[in-house]
Amino acid sequence: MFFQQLVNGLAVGSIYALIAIGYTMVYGILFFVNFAHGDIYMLGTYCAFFIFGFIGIETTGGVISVPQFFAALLPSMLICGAIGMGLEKFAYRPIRNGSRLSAMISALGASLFLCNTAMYLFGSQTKPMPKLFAGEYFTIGGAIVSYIQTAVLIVSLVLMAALHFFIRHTKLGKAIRAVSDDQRAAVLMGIDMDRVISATFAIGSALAGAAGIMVGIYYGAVYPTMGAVAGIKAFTAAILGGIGNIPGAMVGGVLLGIIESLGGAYISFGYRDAIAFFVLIIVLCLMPTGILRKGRT
Amino acid sequence: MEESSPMKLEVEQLTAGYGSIEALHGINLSCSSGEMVAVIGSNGAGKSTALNCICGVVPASYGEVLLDGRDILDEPPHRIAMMGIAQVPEGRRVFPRLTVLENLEMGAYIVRDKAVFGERLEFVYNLFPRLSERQRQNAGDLSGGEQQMLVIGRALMRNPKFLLLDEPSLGLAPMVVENIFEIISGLVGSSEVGIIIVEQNAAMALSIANRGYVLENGRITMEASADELICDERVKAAYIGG
Ligand SMILES: Nc1ncnc2c1ncn2[C@@H]1O[C@H](COP(=O)(O)OP(=O)(O)OP(=O)(O)O)[C@@H](O)[C@H]1O
Ligand SMILES: [Mg+2]
Repeated sequence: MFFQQLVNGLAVGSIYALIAIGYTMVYGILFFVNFAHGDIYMLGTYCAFFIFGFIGIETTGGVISVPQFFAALLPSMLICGAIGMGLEKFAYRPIRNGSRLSAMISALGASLFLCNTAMYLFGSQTKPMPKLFAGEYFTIGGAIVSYIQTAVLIVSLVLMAALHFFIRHTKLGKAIRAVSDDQRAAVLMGIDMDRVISATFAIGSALAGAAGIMVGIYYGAVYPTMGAVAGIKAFTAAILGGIGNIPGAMVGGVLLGIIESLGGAYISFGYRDAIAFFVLIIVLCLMPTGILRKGRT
Repeated sequence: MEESSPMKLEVEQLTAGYGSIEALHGINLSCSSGEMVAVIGSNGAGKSTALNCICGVVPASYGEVLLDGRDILDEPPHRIAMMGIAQVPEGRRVFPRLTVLENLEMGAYIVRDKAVFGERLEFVYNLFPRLSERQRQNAGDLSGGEQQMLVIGRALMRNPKFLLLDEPSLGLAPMVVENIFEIISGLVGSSEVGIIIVEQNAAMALSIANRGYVLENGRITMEASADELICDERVKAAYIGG
């Protein structure tokens, strides 16, 4: 059973990791928590929902093919990226030089706005999502690994590897790290802060969108408030890995998924969500800088 | 000097402050390409504020900053950097979690041409061979002197028209300071760059500068050639000590 829970935890955890990256990147540059991030993830699921509808897939009991999955993934990521950029431009940029408290209030407002707009436009009831693969699985060492879990893991890993490459090796990626190290010095290099911040929101939001569609398919459901709990969990993952630290968010996400899954199995399934919050409290009390420190003097 | 007419950076009536406190009360200064100008003054005189206003990172409330006659005061800081003004800020401010090479790449952020980048990198590595030995190391792990070399090298990566140095001697051992000042003074002789150097170490700054200004409580109180200032009794008493 341990190995089975590890597999389940890994799949869910890689999704937390994808969402956590957005929290941590924004925090690393602007030092505030973008509470609307979970809602962007939710919009990602809706994007996929409508794309599947558009290409004529039954949402109830429907099964999508791998190309259809990618046909939904890429546009959803683009749309979420654009929404993230819009969010920054309208909700955060005008008050960028204000206090952090006003940014936080604006973020809470943006979260409520997105969630309620989704309720208004799409209805508040839960809608079914089609499946990727009709429940096929294979077994390793006694553990059942479904194809969808494998797909979630592979897509997440590829996206994280791509992000890692982007941040490490491209000019814009290096500029994002430079701004996160020293904003004033970065601006003196001729780095356009607006552009860097926009890119940060676009990337984080696109990854949240990818997470959204995968969760929709994994659990087979989409609803307007789904961003709240996932958001808090991913935020916990970001804290766990040390907020502001991108590899930390990846590790923190996977770790949280595994802790949650093991806790759900060995303690009680009903406490699964509580376990994440318990972890959040413990980490904040005992290791407020996270398990991987932000390597800064 | 080349035939092309020298560029000029002029600051006129520059007034700035923080909240209700005015830190600069209308200062005038100028620097031409190929010239080194020193601004000396004690703690809190407004030296850093002046450089930050020129670079657009601290807003001015009144006055002009003219780059070859064009007012750049309302431009955003990244545009001012693109126009060829590079500041080496006080306290070094390397990007600690970027490697030495990545720091230099950020210095050349506005340089698009790969070949030009290569030339600049070679130039900077020639100037500071230590940096090339440490290029894969995180900048945060360098010694203070190496970090100072890195931030100067970083600014030179984009071949600026004007280089503004804010207290490059701060917190460094005398030997290191001497080495760095030698390199700075070499820049003026060998290129077209104009340098404004802000220093509390007045003797050092005036020894390599052409002209100098004394900034006191947000006002320029003296302006003369560096040789004159270095011999001036008041300057000696207040800034050179003995
Ligand atoms: N961010 C700030 N907020 C408020 N006041 C400031 C700020 N920065 C500087 N000041 C004030 O403005 C005045 C000029 O400061 P500035 O840093 O320009 O002096 P300086 O000549 O560079 O001094 P030092 O040699 O110590 O670096 C000082 O009175 C200082 O207290
Ligand atoms: Mg200063």
